[in-house]
Amino acid sequence: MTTPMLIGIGLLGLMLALMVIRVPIAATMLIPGFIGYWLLASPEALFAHLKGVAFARLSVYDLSVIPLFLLMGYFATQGGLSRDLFRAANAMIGHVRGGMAMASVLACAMFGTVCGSSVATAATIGQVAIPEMKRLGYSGRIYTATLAAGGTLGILIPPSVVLIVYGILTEQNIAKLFAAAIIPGLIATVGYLIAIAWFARKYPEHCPAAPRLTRGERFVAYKPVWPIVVIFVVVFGGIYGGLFSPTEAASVGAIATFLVALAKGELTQKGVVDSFLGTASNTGMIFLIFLGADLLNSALALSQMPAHLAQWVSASGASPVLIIVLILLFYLVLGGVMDEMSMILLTLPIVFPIVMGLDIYGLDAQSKAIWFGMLILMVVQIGLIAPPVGLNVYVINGMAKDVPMSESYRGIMPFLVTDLIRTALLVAFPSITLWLVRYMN
Amino acid sequence: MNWTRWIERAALALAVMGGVLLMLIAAMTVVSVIGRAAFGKPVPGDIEVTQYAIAVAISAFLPYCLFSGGNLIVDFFTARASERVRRTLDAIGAFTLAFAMGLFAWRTFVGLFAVRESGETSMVIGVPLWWTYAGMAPCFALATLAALALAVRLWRGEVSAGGAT
Repeated sequence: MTTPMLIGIGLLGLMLALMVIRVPIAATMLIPGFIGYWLLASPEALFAHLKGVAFARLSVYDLSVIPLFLLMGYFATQGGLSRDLFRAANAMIGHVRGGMAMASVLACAMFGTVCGSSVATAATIGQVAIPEMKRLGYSGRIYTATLAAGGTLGILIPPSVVLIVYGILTEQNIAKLFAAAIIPGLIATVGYLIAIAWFARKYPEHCPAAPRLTRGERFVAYKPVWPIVVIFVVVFGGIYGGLFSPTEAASVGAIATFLVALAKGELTQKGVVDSFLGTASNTGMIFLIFLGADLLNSALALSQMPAHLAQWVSASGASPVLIIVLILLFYLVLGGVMDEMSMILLTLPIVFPIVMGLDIYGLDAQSKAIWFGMLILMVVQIGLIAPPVGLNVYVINGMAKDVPMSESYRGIMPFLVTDLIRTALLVAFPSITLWLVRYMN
Repeated sequence: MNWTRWIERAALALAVMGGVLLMLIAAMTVVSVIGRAAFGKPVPGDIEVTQYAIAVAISAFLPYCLFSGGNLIVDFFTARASERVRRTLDAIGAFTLAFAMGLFAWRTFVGLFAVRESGETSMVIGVPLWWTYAGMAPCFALATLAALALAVRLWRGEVSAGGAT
């Protein structure tokens, strides 16, 4: 083994060691990145690289999609749109057994069309849905699990921060990735409804039905939802129809959501400031890790390790689909320990060339990249609710206050089963993902 | 007042300014889309302005992000350690981040002078590139101070492990 290869392995080891002792993830990549660049190139090269790297990495037109879609989601959150969505969904199916849980899932799915983050979706819909479900006598197990799982529809249904990051890292068309995500997102929603129906049949005492509303009451509940439908149709109709670039769509969406929230009279000055701060915190977090991953991956590229690894994998003669499954399993395990976004940013520059080097079902390069992006999205999503550390479960469990963690995880199992089935389907049948994309050109 | 409070206020103010800048970018893009659709005339240079302004907006978000616990950590291996141990480790971690941010701040300032010297401008409407550097460099400097202030607060025990205030 060559010295640069050893240095490359050493850098990864250092990164893991820093992670274990609680160094912020961005720094666990930056520090080995600095050291690697210093050793593998030279100190002068490192300093010359750093001079322009912040500018080069942040002044990218497509990147503006991330803060803009985040801001749109925060405006929707602060503007009280979630309450309208939940009421409308509840008017629709609240009267069946487990109906209010199903309504929460539908509200999450609709909120997901204006929000690209899963924790925000879970927390926002949770704020209105949890008290209602509690009052009706739902058990903590079902309402915490429903919202933790339902919240992941925020990233499964476009816009999706994970897909944008994937698109930028792998230089794929973000509009096509969004189109590819629609059918898997719908399958996920239906899967969750089935999981709730199964649960409600098995444990009827956990989720009583709500009284049926009259036709007039239903109409009143549906009415406030139309602005969200209009925003969704304009923003995504524009992207898919090729009228807008994703940045333009995100701008239109952010401004439109801002105006709708303002018109509803619920967006206060504090609400606007909180939206900015939420966007700042989230954007900052993503871009710090982005900078870190970029620097570490530049250093690793100097060591030639990723190239050797890709060569070694494609020369190993293992079945390509088996390799994909192994990569996904690796992600599931890693996602149990570290934050999913960091995991993707860090590993994708190494994993993506490996995947692109495989011959999978004879797919062309673009289709393969979109298909793999969807699998990455599924793995990230599962990581958000799977034990031992599912971020969404933590957030919702924290909001509910009096539900034991073990109950939430017990409740999440039926949802996880549908997630695994869906992921297996997407691995086996790429056309589920690629079907809509074909109609875009 | 404690100096770390001043840093926090500055970080908060800068984040709000970043948010306003983001809204301006969005508004300009909307105007450009309407102009293109209605009159066939988009705002000239809208793409490059977005590109440079977004770099400044993102940089402006960093100091607040560091304060508000946006700096993710892996909690898995130390979840059973005592609060004191975790807080000390977090202080060291925040210090590491301060070091990295300081390096970026320093080099971006050096880049600022290099780019100003070279007189590079954007392609369509000729915005000097150093303006972007001039917007970004102070943000990274404040991010360095924000990470330092967080390290100090953790060390003093003013905030609990995890770093969120």
